[in-house]
Amino acid sequence: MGVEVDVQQTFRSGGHDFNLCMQFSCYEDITVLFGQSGAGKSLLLKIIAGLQEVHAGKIVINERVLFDSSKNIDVPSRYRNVGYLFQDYALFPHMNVGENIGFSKRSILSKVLKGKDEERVHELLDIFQIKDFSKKYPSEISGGQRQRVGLARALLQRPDILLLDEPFSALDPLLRIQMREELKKIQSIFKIPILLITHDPQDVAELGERLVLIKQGLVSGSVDLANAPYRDSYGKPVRPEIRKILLSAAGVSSA
Amino acid sequence: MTSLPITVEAVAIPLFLSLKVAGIATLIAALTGISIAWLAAKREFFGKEVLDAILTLPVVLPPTVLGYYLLVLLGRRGPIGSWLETYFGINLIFTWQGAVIAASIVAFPLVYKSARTAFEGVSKQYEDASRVLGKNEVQVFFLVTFPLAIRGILAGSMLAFARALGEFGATLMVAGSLPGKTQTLSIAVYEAVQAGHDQIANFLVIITSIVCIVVLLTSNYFLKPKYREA
Repeated sequence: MGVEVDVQQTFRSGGHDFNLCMQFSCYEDITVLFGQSGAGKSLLLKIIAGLQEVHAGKIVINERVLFDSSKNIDVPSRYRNVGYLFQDYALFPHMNVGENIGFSKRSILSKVLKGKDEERVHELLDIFQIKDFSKKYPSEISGGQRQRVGLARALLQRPDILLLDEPFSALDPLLRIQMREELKKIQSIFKIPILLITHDPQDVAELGERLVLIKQGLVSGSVDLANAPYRDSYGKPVRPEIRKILLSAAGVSSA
Repeated sequence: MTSLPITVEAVAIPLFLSLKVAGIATLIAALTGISIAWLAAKREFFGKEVLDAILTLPVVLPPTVLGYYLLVLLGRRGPIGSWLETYFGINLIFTWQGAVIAASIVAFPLVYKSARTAFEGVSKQYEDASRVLGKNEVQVFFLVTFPLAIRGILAGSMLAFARALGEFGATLMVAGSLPGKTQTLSIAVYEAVQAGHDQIANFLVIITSIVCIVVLLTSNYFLKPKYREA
């Protein structure tokens, strides 16, 4: 069980070529993608979700081939079964919280879900403690609540992987701490690989069990953060060590 | 100056004919306008902006010029007219159906333009989110794109209806002014004034104005947002 990604693509914009060439694998834990803006992290998530075209390579999740250029396999987004949390959550503004969460199971004609699907929505409303405002619209709830709705919506269809594009960037610092804890809880409940993009070294230290460093469209390094020297004997992150790799990856010599 | 009594026939017949012609024309303009607007807003294809310019022409061209084009195309010797005549025995010139075609074409750009703007205003992210959540393109359209664009589309359709209701030049050229058959409200006003039937003209003008005000009020109502974007 695990995720294997190996993709190449050249993007042309404004007369410049941008080469994206990324290879890495991850398992049922939290993998943090760290790199500067414009390094191609969001593109990579879009490619995995099938929202962005790619020339060559292979994407396999839990032994299921989603993309293989050598065999002409390119599974459309809707069959990839990935959970995707967009940077600003992309909650549907014309649907209330409950309808947003149940979206993947509804039909065109009716927004009413049947037995099992409806139970599942309630289960997720409970897990994320958002039952009280299931009838409210996205514009009527706070940033942290919106994020929970986005996560619940993505998890309803029991995805094989969860892709999070800078999930905490729109939240204030205290809320970030809380949402990091919630994400760990989710990980322990759903036990699926989580790929998370961040600019925040704090996220890397607190959440990352695996770190993939991305620079100008390439994977410049991959670090196992679950063990020494990045974790102490109590399993707590050793911040100075983690800081060191992040700084050297960014080309800054650590003091 | 004759003061012909205001009869039911003099007012109700052109009014209902106008509502029928404008209603059907708006339906045709809305269906075609929404489909093409979706293509123009969400897909890339060669010659898109040229097509856009051609489809917008009816707003800027004088209605008589449009009417002349239609007469040439739909007339017995015209390419479309002769084909319809030979294979279906249909003649559109001087019929109310001809008036519908004239009104549809005049009303089309109003739906098309507002629908295109409305579709372009729907962020791709919402559509991508629904694709990832397992929806195919038809479901994406009916569950996300269309509901998020509906206000602009309805407002455009209302304007199109008002425009179709007031259509004069192209309709007169294609359908003429046959009382009870192709004489719509706006043409009936013209005829009444020409004949010096001032009372009928006054009454028709007031009726037309009231109908248009109701349409515009409805259109404003649809333009008010029901929810905010988060």
